[in-house]
Amino acid sequence: MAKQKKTLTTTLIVLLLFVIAVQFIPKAERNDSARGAKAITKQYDVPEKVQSILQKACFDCHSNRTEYPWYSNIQPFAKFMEGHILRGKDELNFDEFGSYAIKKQYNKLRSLENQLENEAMPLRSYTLIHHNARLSNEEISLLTNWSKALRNKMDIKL
Amino acid sequence: MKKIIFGAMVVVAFAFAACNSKSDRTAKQDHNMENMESSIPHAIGDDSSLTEIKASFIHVDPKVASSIKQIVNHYIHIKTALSNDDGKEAANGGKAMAAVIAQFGKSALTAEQATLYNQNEEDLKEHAEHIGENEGNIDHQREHFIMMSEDVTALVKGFGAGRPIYNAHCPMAKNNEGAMWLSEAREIKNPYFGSKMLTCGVVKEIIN
Ligand code: HEC
Repeated sequence: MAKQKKTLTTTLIVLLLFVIAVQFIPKAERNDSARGAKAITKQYDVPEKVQSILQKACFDCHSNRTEYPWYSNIQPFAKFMEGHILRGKDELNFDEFGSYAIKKQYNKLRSLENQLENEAMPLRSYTLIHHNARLSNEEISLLTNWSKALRNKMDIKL
Repeated sequence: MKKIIFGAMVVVAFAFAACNSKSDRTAKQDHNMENMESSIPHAIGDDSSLTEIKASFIHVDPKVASSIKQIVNHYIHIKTALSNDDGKEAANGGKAMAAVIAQFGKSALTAEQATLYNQNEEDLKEHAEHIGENEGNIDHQREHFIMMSEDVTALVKGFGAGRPIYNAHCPMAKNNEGAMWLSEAREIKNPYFGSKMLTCGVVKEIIN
């Protein structure tokens, strides 16, 4: 009995040390880049309704305005979230949209329409926790219609 | 004590489960294309409808020409793989293309050529990477192949490909919006539908 208790105590201590140790995994810099003149809202007309949908459902992973929840300061959550956010930003950053070559801007909007129509964005692991980021069909068509109209105005030779 | 250990394990397990983003992106696409063979416009060998286009740049540095040729070869590789419904081969082609773009020697481009190349470079590289990373999601590869085809067409119309390239169009691709692709052969083998509708498409142009 006493022996069993001892193994348990050891296990717990090892686990505790592990949890403490992973806290030393460095966290990536956050929301560092400027969000000025290159933001999509500065370069193109983004109606308020569209902007508020993007903000609640996409900006956490696709802008320089990520709102980090409290548990994002705790490893290993921080590491996993960084993965999503850095990859998401790398794919599409609404605050740096204006720095993309025009063809890339045009095609990012096409991808946005595809992703929404396939319901592949926002990521499911995100809407699991952020319920208000789940988009209704009306919200989806509001975004895709805005995106298509914006593309039609772009001066691009394909 | 047991409760604490159990709790700690749940936390760790959750952390590992929470972030598997690849499987999140299930492409919910349903083409419903079975039984539609009869209504497809088949390719016809009618030369009168074929426009001939000459590549616009007359002097292309041999190194540049060779890199463009490689890009086109990898493109054809992806196209053939997609028409065979082979996402894995398509991914290999995508990775190979991304590698060529990463090493492209831009210093040998004239100003006019650089403008054309720069317009397409960043975009094309992303499509190559997406196709390379999504071997398990052929629908997503095909979405990016639509855009990749447009970029490669722009490059081939400028630089040429060292061989005749056919520009084909299928009006039913992309949910009936229509989409084009390039092929090394006249014969239609549709990369957007594969075995579902292999012969949808008409050759519109030949680029020399
Ligand atoms: C939890 C983070 C997260 C949220 C929220 C999110 N995304 Fe993403 N997004 C990602 C990641 C990660 C990728 C890269 C996926 C990959 O390459 O596999 C991505 C990729 C994309 C792409 C590029 C896909 C392609 O095929 O080129 C688009 C477009 C996109 N997201 C749009 C959106 C939109 C629109 C929203 C809001 C409705 C949104 N995302 C919400 C994380 C997120």
